[in-house]
Amino acid sequence: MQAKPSCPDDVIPLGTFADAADVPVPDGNQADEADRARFLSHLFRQHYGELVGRLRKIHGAGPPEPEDVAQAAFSKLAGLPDLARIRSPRAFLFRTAINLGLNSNDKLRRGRNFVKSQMDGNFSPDVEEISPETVLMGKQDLERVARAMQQLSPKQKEILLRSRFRGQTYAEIKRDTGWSEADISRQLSSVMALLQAGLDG
Amino acid sequence: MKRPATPVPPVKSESAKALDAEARAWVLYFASGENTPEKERAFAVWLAASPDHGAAFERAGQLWDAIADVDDVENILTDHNNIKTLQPRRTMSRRLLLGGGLAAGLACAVGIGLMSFQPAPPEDILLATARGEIRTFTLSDGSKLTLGGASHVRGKFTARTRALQLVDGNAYFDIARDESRPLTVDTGSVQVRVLGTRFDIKKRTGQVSVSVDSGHVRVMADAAARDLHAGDRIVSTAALRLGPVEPFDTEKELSWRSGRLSFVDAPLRDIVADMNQYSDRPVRLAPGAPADLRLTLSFSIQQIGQVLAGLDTAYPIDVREDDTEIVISEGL
Repeated sequence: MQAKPSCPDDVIPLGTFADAADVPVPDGNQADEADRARFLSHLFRQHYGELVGRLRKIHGAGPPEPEDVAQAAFSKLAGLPDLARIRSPRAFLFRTAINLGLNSNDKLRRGRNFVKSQMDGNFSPDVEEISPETVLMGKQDLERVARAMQQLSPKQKEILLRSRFRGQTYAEIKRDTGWSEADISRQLSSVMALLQAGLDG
Repeated sequence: MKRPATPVPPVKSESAKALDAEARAWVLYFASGENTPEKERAFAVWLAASPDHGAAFERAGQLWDAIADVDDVENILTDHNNIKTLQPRRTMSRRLLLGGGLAAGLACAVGIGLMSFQPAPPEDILLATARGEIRTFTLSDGSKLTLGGASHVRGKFTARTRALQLVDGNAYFDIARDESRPLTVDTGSVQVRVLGTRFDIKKRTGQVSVSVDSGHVRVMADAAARDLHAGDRIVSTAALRLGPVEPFDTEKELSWRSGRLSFVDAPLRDIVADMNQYSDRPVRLAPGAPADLRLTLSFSIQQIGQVLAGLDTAYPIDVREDDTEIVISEGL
C-alpha cells in the first residue's frame, strides 16, 4: 500500500547529498565501506534510544520487545543501497519499525500481500518493505492530520493505536477491550473520515 | 491593477467523497484481519472497475500509512486524558447564549435605567456533558465544576447568591470562596450549602451522595441538616432522608475525574447506572438480573465491555451485547 512520490517531501533526488546530516553522507554508489559504516553508526547513536522510547510507548513492554523491533528497523536501513536519499532517517526508522511489527501478524501480512498483488500485478512476499521512494506526506499535511488526531475520542485513539500501530486484528482488539467488532469497525471508519476531513481542511 | 489569481481550494464533489469513503473502507478491511476469499474477489472486481478506484485506494492507503509519520503520534494516541479544561471565562453553552441574548433584550425593553443599579447582571449557568465525556468548566467567579458523563448542571449567579442545581449525573465542585455570596447546590431532594470548598455530588435514581474533599459543607434534606468536613460522606435516600455521616476513600471515590470508576461493595444496580454515563451503548439490567449483587471493582471507563465480559465469567450473570445495547440477565 505504498504510493508513488507525488510530493517527495522526505526524499531528495538521486545524486545529491543530505546536507541536513552533520556528517558527510556517502553516495551509495561510490562511497567506500568505511564512510558508510561511519554514517550508519552515526545514525544509530543519534536515533536508537529515541526510537526504542517511541516504540515502548506504542507496544508497552511488548511483545514485541521495543529493542528487537528497533534493531530490525536498523537492519533494514543498513540494507539499503541508497542511504543518502533518506531525508528523515528518524521518520523512516519509526515507520519501518511499526510496519515490521504489523508484518509479524500473519493475517495482516496475507491481506497486504494480496493488495500488493492486485495493485502491481505481481506478488512480492515481503510487502512491508519501505523504500526511500515511499512517499511521505508533506509536513503541513501531516500537521493537519495531527490536529485531527488530537480531537479523536479516547476510545478512537485506543482503537487506532491497536490497529495501525500494534497491528491487532479486530478480533484481537475485541478480546482485549470487550468492544464488538462491528463497533471497532464503525469507530475506525469514522477515525479515517475525520482524519481525511482534517487533511482536506 | 492586475492581481494574481486567487487559488481556489479544491472542493470534492459528493461522488468523489463517496469514492474516498469506499476506498477507506477497503483499506480498513485489509487492516481488520478478517480477510475472506469472497471479499478479496470483491476487492479485485472493485479495483478493476475503474482506474479512479485504484487511485482512490492509493490515496486512502497513503493516509493510513502517513498516520505513522505524524510527529509525536505515540503521545497523541496514548493521551487518554481527554478532560478539557476551559480557560477562566464565563462558560455558557450556545443554547444559553441565545437565551441570554433574549433575556438581555427583554431587560433593555424593561428599562435601561434599572440596569445601572445592578452591580453585576445575573448570570445564567447551563452546563452539560455528553455520554462518555468528562469535562471541567470554569465559572465567572473562578469556581471549577467537573461534570461526569451524561451530567447536567444549571443555575443562576446574582450579586447576592450563587444557586446551582444538579439535574442529572454527578459533578465535582471546586468552589471559589465568597463570604458575601454563599453557594447552594440543589439536587431536588438534597440541598448543599457552602462558602468555598471542594466536594462531589452524585445523583442516582432515588439516591444522592455528597462527599467532601476539602473544607466544610452543610447538607440539608427536608428539616434535617448535617455538617460535613473533609473526608466525610453522606448518602440520602427517600427512605433515610439523611443517612449517617461516614468516612470515604477520597482517592477511589474521586478517581472518576481521570476516567476511572471505583466501587467498594456496591450493588450491581449502581455500577450499571454509572456505566451508563460512559458506555457507548446502553447497559440494561433485564428483569430477574441480580441487581443487588454486591461487587468491589475498579476499572477505566474505556474498559466497560471488558469488565462486563469478566463479570459474566466470574458471577452467575449472563452478559449479551449487540450493536445497540448490552443486556445483563440472570445466569447459571
